[in-house]
Amino acid sequence: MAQLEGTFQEMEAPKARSFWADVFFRLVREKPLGTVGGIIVLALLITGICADLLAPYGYNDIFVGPRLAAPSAAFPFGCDQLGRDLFSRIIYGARVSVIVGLSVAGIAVAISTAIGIVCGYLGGKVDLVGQRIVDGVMCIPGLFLMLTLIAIFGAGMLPVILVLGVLFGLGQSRIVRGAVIGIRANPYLEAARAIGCNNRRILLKHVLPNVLAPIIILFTVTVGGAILIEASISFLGFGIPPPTPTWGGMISAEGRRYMLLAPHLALWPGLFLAIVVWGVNMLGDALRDLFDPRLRGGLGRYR
Amino acid sequence: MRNYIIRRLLLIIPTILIVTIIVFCAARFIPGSVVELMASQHGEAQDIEQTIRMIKHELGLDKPIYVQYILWLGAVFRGDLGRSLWTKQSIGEDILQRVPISIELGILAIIAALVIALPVGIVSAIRQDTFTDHILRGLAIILISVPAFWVGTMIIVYPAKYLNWMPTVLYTPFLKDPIRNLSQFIIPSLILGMAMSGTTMRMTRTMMLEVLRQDYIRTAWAKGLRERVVIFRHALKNALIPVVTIIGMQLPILVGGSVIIEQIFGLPGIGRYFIWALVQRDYPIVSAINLVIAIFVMMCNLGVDLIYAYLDPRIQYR
Repeated sequence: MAQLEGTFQEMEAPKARSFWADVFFRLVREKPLGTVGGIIVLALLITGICADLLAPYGYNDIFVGPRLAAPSAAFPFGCDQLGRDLFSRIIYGARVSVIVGLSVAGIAVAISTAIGIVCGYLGGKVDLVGQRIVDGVMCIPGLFLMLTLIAIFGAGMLPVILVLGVLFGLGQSRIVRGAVIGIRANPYLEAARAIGCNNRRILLKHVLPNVLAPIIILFTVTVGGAILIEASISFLGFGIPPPTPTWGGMISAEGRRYMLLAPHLALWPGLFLAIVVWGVNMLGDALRDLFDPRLRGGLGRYR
Repeated sequence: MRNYIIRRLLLIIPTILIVTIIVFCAARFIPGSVVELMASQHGEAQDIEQTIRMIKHELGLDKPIYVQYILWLGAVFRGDLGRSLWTKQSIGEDILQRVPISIELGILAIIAALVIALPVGIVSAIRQDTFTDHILRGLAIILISVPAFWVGTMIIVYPAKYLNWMPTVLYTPFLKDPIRNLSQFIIPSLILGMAMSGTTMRMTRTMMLEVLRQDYIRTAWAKGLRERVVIFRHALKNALIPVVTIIGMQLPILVGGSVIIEQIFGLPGIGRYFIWALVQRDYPIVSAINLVIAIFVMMCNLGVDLIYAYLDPRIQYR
């Protein structure tokens, strides 16, 4: 968790302040919906990190209220079949979503950048073999492969994060590879080769910084995707097992019987899931517009 | 064109081999506990070690791993997907029985997605940067963000509580009662199509915008053609070609989504069979379904690429 917060702070490190400040101001000025998305993401982060302070009850404190109680002043979102406070469980669910979203995106971006840069820059046999393997994995629809792998490694937070991270990473390596191929013909790479840079230096110092924009966008989009997929897997009962409160798990079949009596059990987790994924998508969309020079100006401007 | 098709078909061979290796490896990771579970179900007071050995022999798990792979691959090429660990039924037959349900759901979902996405995408592009455009684009992102399993659950839960109405969860075959069958598929395929329509909508819009800036569109306007003719006869035809590819690319998402939708609405398709097999730890079924679906997706991708090449004469194939 601390490591992940680190990535975020790194993004706003003093060295790059001018660039990030620029992105930030343009985001606020030009993309109101993207800003709303950013605020939602920020709220999710804060809720996830400070869940212990914000939640009035523990996520597993049973019989703090009447069973299946409808929303009221004391329990704003109502209570579940064990009399647990739904409001607290939603807040702790946000923490799970933050952890899953950020760590999956981190792993995925690391993997996709490594594969994409190496395959895209080196080309030739490495690329051919690498891309056939990626093709092979991508042919199996994500959810099927994820469920299979999680069934093998066992349910739980760590296997879910690893499986999602690796699979997202493999799929996205194609995008990074495409971006690298797009800049491969540039003279500055030839110049770097001419003055005798080795491959490692070229990849890290010359290729990577130039494909950073799509990578940052990928990171944002993956956070949303990972949160949604983790919820789907937990909904099917294969993801993070109870009592850990996950937004997907709260809607899962186990509580279906009670939902018919108390529909608010199904309402809140899904609503927050939708809002969070919407926010992440809007932010990612706005960032895509800000980073992509072809989309600057009137054409394709997103508001 | 012929060379292009041959080249694409040749490229598929290594991909299929890699898929079989992935699927096979996944299946052979059968945790020992499943064999032990089966042994304990044999129920006799015999030596448990011997029973385990016997079951492993029966399943061919005592041979070296590459021999197992070759034997399995040979059987797959003969069309034999193996048998269920528990029911001993032929997996191939079981899958064939359930495929039509998933295909019906998939086709209806694609239709739903197109019916929602195309008009919205077109209007959004024609009225670019207007209020309508912003609203429609917001809608597209909402459609992408709202989880299908939540919408499905809400549609079951809320009307049941307040209107005393609930979608049927008892499957009726199409041939037995077509109307009942279709009415049962409407809601699931709408939800599935909704998830797909967001991306398609955005793609249609982007493509329309690109096409609307082409010279031939300006010519069409300059000739004094009416808006309807320009949009439908000149722009839309060209914008739709990439949209075909997007629909193809979304196929894995569609197949994945059908797992969830089939589970919620009790449609006995491939997705439900898959979940059942996972819960039972019936690994031969799991690997068979993965393989069949992977090959299906691969073929669809190939088909989409060929249709694309056929539809757009500007594409050069080497």
